[in-house]
Amino acid sequence: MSADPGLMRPARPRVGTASAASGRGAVTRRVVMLAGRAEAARLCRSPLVLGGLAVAAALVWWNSRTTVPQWWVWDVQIGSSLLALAGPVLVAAQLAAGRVRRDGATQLYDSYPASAPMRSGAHLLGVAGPLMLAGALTGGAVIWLELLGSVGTARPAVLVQGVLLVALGGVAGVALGSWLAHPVAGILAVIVIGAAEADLLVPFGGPVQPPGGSAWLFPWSQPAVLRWLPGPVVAIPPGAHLAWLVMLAALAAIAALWRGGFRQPRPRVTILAALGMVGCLALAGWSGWAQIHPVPASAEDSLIYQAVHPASVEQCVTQVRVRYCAYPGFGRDVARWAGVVNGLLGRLPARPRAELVVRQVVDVNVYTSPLYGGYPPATASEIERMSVLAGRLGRFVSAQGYDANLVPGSSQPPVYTDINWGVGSLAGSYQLGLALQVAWWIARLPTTWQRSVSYSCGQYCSVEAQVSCLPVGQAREAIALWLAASATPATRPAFLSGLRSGAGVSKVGGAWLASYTGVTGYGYQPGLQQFTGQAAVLAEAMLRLPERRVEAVLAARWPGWLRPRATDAQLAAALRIPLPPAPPAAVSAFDRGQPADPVCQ
Amino acid sequence: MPWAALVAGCAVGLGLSLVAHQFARPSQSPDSIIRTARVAFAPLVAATAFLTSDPHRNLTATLPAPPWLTTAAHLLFAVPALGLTAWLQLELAGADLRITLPPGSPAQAEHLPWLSLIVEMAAWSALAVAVAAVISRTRWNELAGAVAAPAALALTGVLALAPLGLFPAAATGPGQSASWPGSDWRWCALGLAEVLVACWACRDPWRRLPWRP
Amino acid sequence: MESVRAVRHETRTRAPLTGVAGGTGVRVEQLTRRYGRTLALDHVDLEVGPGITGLLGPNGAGKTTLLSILATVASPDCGRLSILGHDPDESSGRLAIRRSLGYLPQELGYHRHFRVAAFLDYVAILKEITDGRRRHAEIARVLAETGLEAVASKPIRTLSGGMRRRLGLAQALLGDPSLLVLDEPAAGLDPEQRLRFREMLSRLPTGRMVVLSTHQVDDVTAICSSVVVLLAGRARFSGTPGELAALAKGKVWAAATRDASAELSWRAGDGSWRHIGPEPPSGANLVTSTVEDGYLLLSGSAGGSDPSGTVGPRGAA
Repeated sequence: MSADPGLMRPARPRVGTASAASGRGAVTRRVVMLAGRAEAARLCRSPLVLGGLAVAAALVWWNSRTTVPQWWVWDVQIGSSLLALAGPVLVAAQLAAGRVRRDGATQLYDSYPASAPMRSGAHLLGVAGPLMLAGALTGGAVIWLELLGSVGTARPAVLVQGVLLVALGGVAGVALGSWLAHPVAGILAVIVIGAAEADLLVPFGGPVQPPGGSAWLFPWSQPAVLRWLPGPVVAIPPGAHLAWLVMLAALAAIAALWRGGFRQPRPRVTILAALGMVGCLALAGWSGWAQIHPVPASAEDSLIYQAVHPASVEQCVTQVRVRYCAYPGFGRDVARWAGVVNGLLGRLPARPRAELVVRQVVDVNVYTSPLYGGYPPATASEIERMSVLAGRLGRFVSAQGYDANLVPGSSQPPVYTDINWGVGSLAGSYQLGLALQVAWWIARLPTTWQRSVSYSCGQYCSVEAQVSCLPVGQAREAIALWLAASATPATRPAFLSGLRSGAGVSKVGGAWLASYTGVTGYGYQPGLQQFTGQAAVLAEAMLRLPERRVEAVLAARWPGWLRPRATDAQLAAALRIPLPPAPPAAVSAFDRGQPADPVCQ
Repeated sequence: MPWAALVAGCAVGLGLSLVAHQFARPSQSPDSIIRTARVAFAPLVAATAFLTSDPHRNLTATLPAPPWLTTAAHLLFAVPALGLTAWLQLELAGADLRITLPPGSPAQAEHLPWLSLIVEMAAWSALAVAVAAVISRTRWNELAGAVAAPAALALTGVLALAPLGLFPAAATGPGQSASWPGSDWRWCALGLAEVLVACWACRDPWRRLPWRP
Repeated sequence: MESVRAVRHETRTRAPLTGVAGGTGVRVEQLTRRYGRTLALDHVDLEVGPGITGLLGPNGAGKTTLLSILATVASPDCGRLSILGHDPDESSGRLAIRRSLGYLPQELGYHRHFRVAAFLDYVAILKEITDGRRRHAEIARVLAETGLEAVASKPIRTLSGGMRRRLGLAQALLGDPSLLVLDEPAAGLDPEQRLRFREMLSRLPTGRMVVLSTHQVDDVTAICSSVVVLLAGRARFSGTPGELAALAKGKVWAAATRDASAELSWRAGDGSWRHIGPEPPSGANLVTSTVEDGYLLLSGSAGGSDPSGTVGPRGAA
């Protein structure tokens, strides 16, 4: 079909091609901006997006309830929480981009001057709305975590990645909606991506080992082992991950814009789009490859060295004649520890002459299986190396339990605390863990065990038990428990709930006694604060008395109460309360082979 | 009949199972296999949410045929496809389990709790249909599937977090606790409630609940 | 037969368009469009100038296809087309046309969850009305024109069918387009709304071109300055409503009873029978022909077996 010169045509004024083109370009930009703004407002009002925002905020709050946030973990975790927003943004963007076809308005919209690629551009620009919501949530999370007293420093490049995830979700949704208008497409896309992220590759589900050469497709899993060591994880270069996300978003944007011009493709545009996609794929591949590079050996060595040689890297401060030694970046925890220690030492009639050193240590073991490591080491030598590193850390963690002289410059007995610290509902447990160690130090009771003994617990089972002395019948045990439970307002309920969880049994001489072991699994673990049931019930009775009365009794015979000769009965008599009966020792067949504990001297 | 949603859901679900099977390895636990099977069922549940859609509602509502007939007919046609897909997915999960078990394991250890999983998935699907049917009675009826699919999956997630014992751990070995029968009854009860809600929602919309401002 | 041939001859030798400066109008030559084996438009020749042009025709005549081509949302298979002096085959031409176009399709897809004003705002942006004040003024104007001010803040799903049709008109009127292409604009409107619609179209500046398709012949009679009759994909008539009515002059009869030999006959509202045919039925009186009579005569004639469209009595050569 061609235009007939004979047909009527108005005489067009002569206009410079460049100015006409620039004018057209300005109009196009303005139309896309205004339409994009309208789309952004609609996306921000979408119940899906608002619901996702609420869930993401709830995830940040929920996961920050129990321990003091560490920024090298949390700047990634904020990004993970934003996945709860990225999914609904994908669905909402897909519904918005497919709206015209779904509502049968294609012909109407085709009659407008704004072309289909322009409308796709507006949809892409509309993702800026949820992006701002994600940015606001990230900012709010940073403020919230700082208010909680987080340790370390947030990495801006990693925080930006979380926000980019939302952008990627939106752009992917627009691309999907440009090609597939049916609402099920977005929902299925979220399920697939969520399944890939959560089930196939994240360690808690049992990580998958991608076949050789395809690991670069899934570069977002990072070595779980390195999360537990002090300091930031350097496994994934933030710049590479950022580039990977940007390239994926660019690919999706090209796909969305291409669809708009699909019905009337122009060769030059098609070639440019194809080249753009190839370029993005290449860059995404490179950045994915950069991410799955094994952690440099020097970085691994440095982190393991820091873990097994804390005295050489920690920074120590002295407050009120107590030395606190913490890893770099954990300085904020010193005030938390001091709150417990001061609360306890403040009740003493006289402080011990020896200097108390509260030292932070790593007390978690590293999984040796390369699959549980969270990334697939490329070679057998790397697997072997990982086992060696894990072995070094494992031996150090084990030694914390029995070697009182493990870390030079520590107290005798040593007083250790964890790289994690509890807040909220777990604050009491973590505080009690430290308080018990300090109280044992005050009472000159060992905080380490003497030896490990394996015994048979049945036909097919074997248990390794740690042998430590028990101050049976000694007043200093109940006093130490009372001091620990009274250290802060949170330690008392933690102590009492620990008693309610039920007693175990210990064998002393030929007799069985009810006994308890430390607190319920939070805070520093390898050490052993084993105490008798008799001391526990006496300490519980002491907690019911006025504090001044107990302090007066202790002061009247301090430091005599700390000698092994001072008995529970004497302490009860001095407090003018009956000695509560010890809980019965319920010995099961499982316990029969347990080795006997000596009495502390 | 919403064939597009049904076929897409079945295809994606089967695809997830195939990918998981491709990546299966001996160190996977039965728990993770069951978890993967559940995740792979999610697309089928999403597809089920679209089975109540009736684009010609304005026309069919005037016909003498009862209003629930459309949904029932959709379900009738969909159940074979969903059943076949679910069976293939469970077969793949079983094959994954066989990879994980050491040679010489007892025969009964090769079996996942098939029936319990089927009851669970049926209850999920009934939840999606019930939510979609309820939304179909509102002004948002044309978005019933789009809303019901994520809502049903989110509700299932909430149920998983609630202390109702609806998602017990795998019990494939002798001496392990078997809490599956209990969860079966709970899922049956839940599924029955969902079916009742769906039946109520599929009634003739002529009679509306009275509303007083 | 002779009158129809005269019409076809008249169409071919019609004088070039004059009017708006530069002669910008719509000119169609030998336009053809197929859908598979179906020939929707069969070498249509057409000229549209300033004023309101009505497009009449039965279902399947090709009206919607023609309008969608004029609206640049569909392309013909062959033929020549000039709209407002631009060639829609070129992308720049389509863009120029769309900037001066308002289109109301027959099936207007509504975004049910948009509010009325928000939808118009969005459309105005897509129509490149980027200045905020001008856009709001335009929206207020079209809302007033179509009587939708009271529902501006309501979701579209709450509007009645007639209101939605008016909303479709409103979006077509945004930007004060030079060419309005309206496909069944009065469908679903009640009599008062139809009257307002006619009034609104009548108030349009004289230089505007409106092409509307309708089944309602009285709409054509009331407001159209020219009418085109499409039958089986061909333009069978192009002229004024008076000329269409004149086709049936001397061939319309009223009688008390039905005459089986008449080409067309139907019972009127007053109980008498109206016949169309060259010969008067017995006892019939000649009555003044209307536009509808001319259209019915044309469509009845074209429905015969003669491929050249020769008009004749039903069943007779």
